[in-house]
Amino acid sequence: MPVSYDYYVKGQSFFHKLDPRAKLVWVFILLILSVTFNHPLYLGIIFAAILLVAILSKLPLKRLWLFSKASIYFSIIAVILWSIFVRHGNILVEFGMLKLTDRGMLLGLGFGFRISLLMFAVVVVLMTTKQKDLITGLAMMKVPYPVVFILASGLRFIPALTGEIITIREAQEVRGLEFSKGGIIERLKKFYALGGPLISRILKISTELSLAMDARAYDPAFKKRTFYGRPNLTGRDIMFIGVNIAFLVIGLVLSWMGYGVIPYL
Amino acid sequence: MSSDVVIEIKDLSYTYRLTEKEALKDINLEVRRGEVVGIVGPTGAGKTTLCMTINGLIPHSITGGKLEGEVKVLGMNTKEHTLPEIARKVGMVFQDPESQIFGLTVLEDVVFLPENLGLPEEEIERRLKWALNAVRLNGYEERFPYQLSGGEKQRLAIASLLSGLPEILILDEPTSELDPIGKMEVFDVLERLKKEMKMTLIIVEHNTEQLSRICDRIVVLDKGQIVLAGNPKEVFSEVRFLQRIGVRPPQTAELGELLKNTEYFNEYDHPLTVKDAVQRLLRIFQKRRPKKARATISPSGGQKPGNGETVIEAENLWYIYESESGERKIALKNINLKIRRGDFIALIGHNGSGKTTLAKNFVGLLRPTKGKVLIYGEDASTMSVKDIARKIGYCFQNPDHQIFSKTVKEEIMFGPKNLGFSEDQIEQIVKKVLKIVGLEGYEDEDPFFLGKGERQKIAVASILAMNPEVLIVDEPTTGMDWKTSISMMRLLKNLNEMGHTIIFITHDMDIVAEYAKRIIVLKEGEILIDGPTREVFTKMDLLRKAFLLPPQITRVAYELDEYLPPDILTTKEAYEAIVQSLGG
Repeated sequence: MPVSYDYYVKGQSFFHKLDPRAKLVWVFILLILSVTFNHPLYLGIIFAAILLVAILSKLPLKRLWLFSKASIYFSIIAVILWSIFVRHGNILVEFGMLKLTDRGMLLGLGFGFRISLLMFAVVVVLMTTKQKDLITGLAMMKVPYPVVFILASGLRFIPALTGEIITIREAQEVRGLEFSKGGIIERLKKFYALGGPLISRILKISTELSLAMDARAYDPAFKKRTFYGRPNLTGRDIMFIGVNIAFLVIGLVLSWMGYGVIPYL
Repeated sequence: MSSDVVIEIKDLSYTYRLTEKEALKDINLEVRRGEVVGIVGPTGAGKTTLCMTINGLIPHSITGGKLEGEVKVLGMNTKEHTLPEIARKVGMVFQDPESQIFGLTVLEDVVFLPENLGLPEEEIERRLKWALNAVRLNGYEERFPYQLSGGEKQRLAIASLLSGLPEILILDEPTSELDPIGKMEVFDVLERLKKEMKMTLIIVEHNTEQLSRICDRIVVLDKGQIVLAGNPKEVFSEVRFLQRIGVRPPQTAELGELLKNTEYFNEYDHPLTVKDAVQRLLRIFQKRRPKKARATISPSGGQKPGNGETVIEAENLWYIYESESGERKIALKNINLKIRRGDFIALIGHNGSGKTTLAKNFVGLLRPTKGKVLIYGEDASTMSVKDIARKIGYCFQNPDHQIFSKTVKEEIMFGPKNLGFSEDQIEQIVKKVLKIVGLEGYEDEDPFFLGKGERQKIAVASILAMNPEVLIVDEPTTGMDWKTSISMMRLLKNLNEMGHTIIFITHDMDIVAEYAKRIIVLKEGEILIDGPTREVFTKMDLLRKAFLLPPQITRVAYELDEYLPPDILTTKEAYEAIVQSLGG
């Protein structure tokens, strides 16, 4: 069954051609900016900028949505939670104990944007960068190789695990199990039929993997590992990083002056 | 020690952690540079264990066991050298291509090993080109592993070790999961490594026909000990002995054994290849001038395809996979077929030809994109998977995907319970199906600790317990040794005789020839041939197009069609036809 293992989408855009390190710097700056502000307008603008990058890079938006939609769900939950628990500000609606205030809404919305923009930024990088380049980039930025390798294996094998779950589910369905029926306790029991085989598969796959790694001279203690196809920082990358730093400075100054920051209390 | 000896094993015994039985016992083995050694033996004989002691995975990666004796590889005592040191010189390819490909692309995977060795970029580049060329995957650098066929994936796994320039390459059942042509591709590559690079190869394999093609020496393991060793001719001529311990010799050797005691053929070594067998038989035929009329075979009873009521019917069935991101892949194209009560069908085709997709459409796990499936004349689209499960049982390839209970009994009860059978009924059914699959007395065993063959039977039993009339079994013998395969297939044959309609998916053509009454060949999602087994296996050219190859014995008969019926399916049939033709 065709299970796509990759996020990467081939392309020739400006963003595609950037050095992976430049893209990682971009994500890092977005991370700082996203905690600098908490106003949904400011965070929304950053979010829109990321979408613009995705569009200019000609990424298939359907795929982008597929990979990052989970963050939108988290965001919605954030909006609801913040709205319920923040009780300051002007009350918009009131049902008994529940008060919905304008400040709660704004904070929740801001928090939601924060989660989504980070998720989208990471996915945009994953979709425009070959995994190999990303790993090389991380390693060249002195991230320890074992950490990089765990990240890389995750990217490679999480989709494969999805495939395992589908197969196990099907194998139990043909034995008359209907996952969508029954009460909570019954459903929990059903998950045992899914979880049992899944755990034994994960154990087996990870054992096989570690043997295959050892057979290929993988040695986390080896410091002189080389990387084939090292990227080079070009003028384009320097310019890109420069522009980003400029944005970062502007952002920090704005927030120091009090723009884009809503007091929590 | 002569410098020519690259592997030297002395009095090696090994016991795994938490076990008592020795997995290897008193192994003594020397392998010379450039030698190709085939290792055969039944499941549990210690073949994989032996491989892992050679490349140091035992004792370095698999720890806690008890290793006695000594293993020296290229002068390195494996106990005293680290894994990365050994891995520079000794590569190992594993059975499952999925769990040994790390790279997201072919290129990434091939450079992983030289990167780990810390080689300079120019050197890696050179090795990448060389390794891909050696396995004939040049130009595949940017492909994703999932775009490769099974044979290509295994060739990639080989390339990913060649890039380390190993002096010794160990392959542990590299072709078990592959279709016949995929198997050939891999062995073609190995032959090339032997001839052009004089590489030392250790190959664990069930397929003795392919082994005899390239091995200088065969080592037979049983219960952890070397029980027989010698050149392929010597070893594979011991047909009876090998069969007794559960190793299948090449069919031509089996034929030689049957003919050994006849007046026409009293040679002591047996032919191992189609070419050899054909030449020798031709000599006999020409000398003895057989009766003009070609011998005929009387098809044994019950080999006719079922002709009862139609149980499953596919009408203009199309299936198109559409991923969430919108990529489409046509998996089945306009399939039309009828499966009748009493059929015993082999569904065959290359890796990715749509066999499993078709089977899943029969049981409702997948629903046709176009066209329909009828089950006992009723449109399946109105039935749930559970409804269909009462009529058609579907047994997945890997029992690990379904077994979750603490006891065999609970595992088997799971299906009937879901279908709402009564307690009394279930008790009776458990007894009945355990008897059918030959696992009486296993009720309270924990299936987790049983062998692969037993687990596969539990999986079949748990499907049988739902009392379906039709049984679909996906690759019931993949990765099993011959003895276990035969016992699995006898079980299916038995069920067929009891009135069940059986459909099985497989890559093993010997098994198809021996058991199936009807064959459906799929190629790229279309039915290429559909007919009685005997007819299908004579369509050599069409089969080749589908990347399939009839059994060795059928190929021999085909070459000798002047004297023998070309539709011979088993060694026994070939023997009978020869005797008949020579006027015995």
